[in-house]
Parts: sequence; C-alpha cells; structure tokens
Amino acid sequence: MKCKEFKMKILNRKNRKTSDLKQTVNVDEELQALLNAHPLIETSSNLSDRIMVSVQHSERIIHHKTTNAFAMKLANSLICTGILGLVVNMMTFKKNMFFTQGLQNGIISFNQVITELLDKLSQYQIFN
Amino acid sequence: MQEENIRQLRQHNQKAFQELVIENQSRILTMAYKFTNNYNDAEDLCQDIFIKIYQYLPDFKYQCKLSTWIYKIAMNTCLDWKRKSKRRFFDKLSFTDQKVKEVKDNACVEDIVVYKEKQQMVHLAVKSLKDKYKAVIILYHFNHLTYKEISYILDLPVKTIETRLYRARKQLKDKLIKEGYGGEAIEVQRV
Repeated sequence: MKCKEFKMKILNRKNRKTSDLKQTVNVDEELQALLNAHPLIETSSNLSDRIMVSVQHSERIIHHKTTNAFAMKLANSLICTGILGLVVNMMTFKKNMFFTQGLQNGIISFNQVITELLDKLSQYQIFN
Repeated sequence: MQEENIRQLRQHNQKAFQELVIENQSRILTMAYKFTNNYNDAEDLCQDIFIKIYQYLPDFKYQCKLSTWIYKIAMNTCLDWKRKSKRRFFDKLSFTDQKVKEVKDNACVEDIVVYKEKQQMVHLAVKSLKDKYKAVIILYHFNHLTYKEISYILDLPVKTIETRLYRARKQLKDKLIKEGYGGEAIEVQRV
C-alpha cells in the first residue's frame, strides 16, 4: 500500500510539472462528481428497531421527569413560603419567645433522626 | 411530506415515526459518521438525533420543510457531539463499515475497487476539514440541499455559505492532490 502511494506521489509530481492546468480542471470536475455521488452508509433494520425502542423509552423518562419537576417545584415553593412566613412573623411581632428552646428541640430531633438512619444503614450492611 | 403525515408525527404516532426513521436513517448515519469517524459512535449519535427529533416534533412550526428541520437538528447534535467529545488517541478508521451503493451494476471489480479507493480518499479529506467547512460539504454535496436551506440550518447568510463552500472545495482539492489524486486522469490523457 505504501509502495503504491509512493509511486502515485512520484507520478503526480512528474505530471504536475507538465500539466498543472489540465490537472486542476480534471480534479475540479471529478471532485464535484465524486462528492455528489458520495455513498451513504447502508443501515440495518436493527438500528431502526433500536431507535424506536430508545424513543419509546425516552418518552417514559420525559413523562417522569416532568412530573418530578412539578413536585419538586411545589415542595420548594411550599418550603420557601413557610420560611418566609416565619421570618416575617418574627420580624413583625419582634418576639423571640421559645426560639432558643425550639432550636434546641429541633437539633435534638434531627440528631435522633440521623442516629436512627445510621442504625438502619449499619443493619443493612450487616445483613448483606 | 403530506400534511396528514406531519400531523401524525407531531402527535407522536409510532408508525409514522418509524417510517420517518427508515427514510432518513441512512443519511443521518452517514452525517454522524463524518463527524465521529467510528461506526459505533455514529450509531449512538444517530440514535440521539432521532430521540431529539421525536421530542421536538410537536414544536415543529412549518417554518421550513420537515427534512430541512430534521437536518438542522442532526447538524446541531453532531456539532455539539464534536465540541463535547475529547480527542481520542486511538481513532479507529473502520472503512470496512462503508458500503458503496452508487456503483453501477455492470461495473467490473477493478472499477469498483478504484471507485471505493477514491471515495475513501474523499472521506479522509472531508474528515480532516474544519467543522464549519465539513458541515457545508455534507449538507450541499452529500444531502443535496440548497444554499437557502443550508443557510437556515447553520443560521448563516447565504453569502457566507457560498464562501465556505468555495474554501472547503479548495481545501479538499489541495488535500486530494497532495495525496496523489488526479495522477491517473493525466496518465490517460497522455496515452
């Protein structure tokens, strides 16, 4: 293959010296013809089947995505509204009643939740 | 394509979409192959393109022909893939994947081999072009679209398309001559 390429290159160099113009014209016409008739890749029915399956699958994913997105948005907006309401109330009434105690209780309950979660996780690991 | 068919496609009719896939998959796969240069990647990219087409079909607003709209999605996906893909050190050149369709039935084996070699040289030359030139060559020569359609697909003025096509052809010609293309033609003339 390399030998053939080498021969072609030498032949091309020789020719280039003698008839540059003819070559350019030839290549221009032939190149356009070759480009216009460039072959397409033959496809199998396998690919179209694969595409159809993936398309149907993607439809399901899209459906789930949209519902999840809506639920997430709703949850986010509810949480934000709750926090905003709490802050506004605290600012308007300027009351700090039970705030520290509530915070402490919150932290304690949060700790409990985490410990329970860790327990469950450790159990899961042991049984597996 | 008929109005009724497009309406069915927009309503996600599976049968209509399957027909669309069968009709266009060869062209889309060839386009993807020119960007990936790997058959498996080209198939994956082709699949992604058809998923996008399916997803965005309800948004088709009859601004152009459906085929042009499909090419727009395909070209944008290919260009995105090229941008995202990292450079590969072991870039496979699987020419055996390519099958020549356009050879005449009565052509002899030698002619077919020569034709295949020429088309492989063209493929390599197109592959080595910059994306902006490659896109124009693929759309104009391989898919036979008009300047106006290409201008819509690439979102560029018609004059820019003309210039890019001229430059792309010039680069292709230089590359092919450098590779030794054209020697045979002159040899025949001399005889």
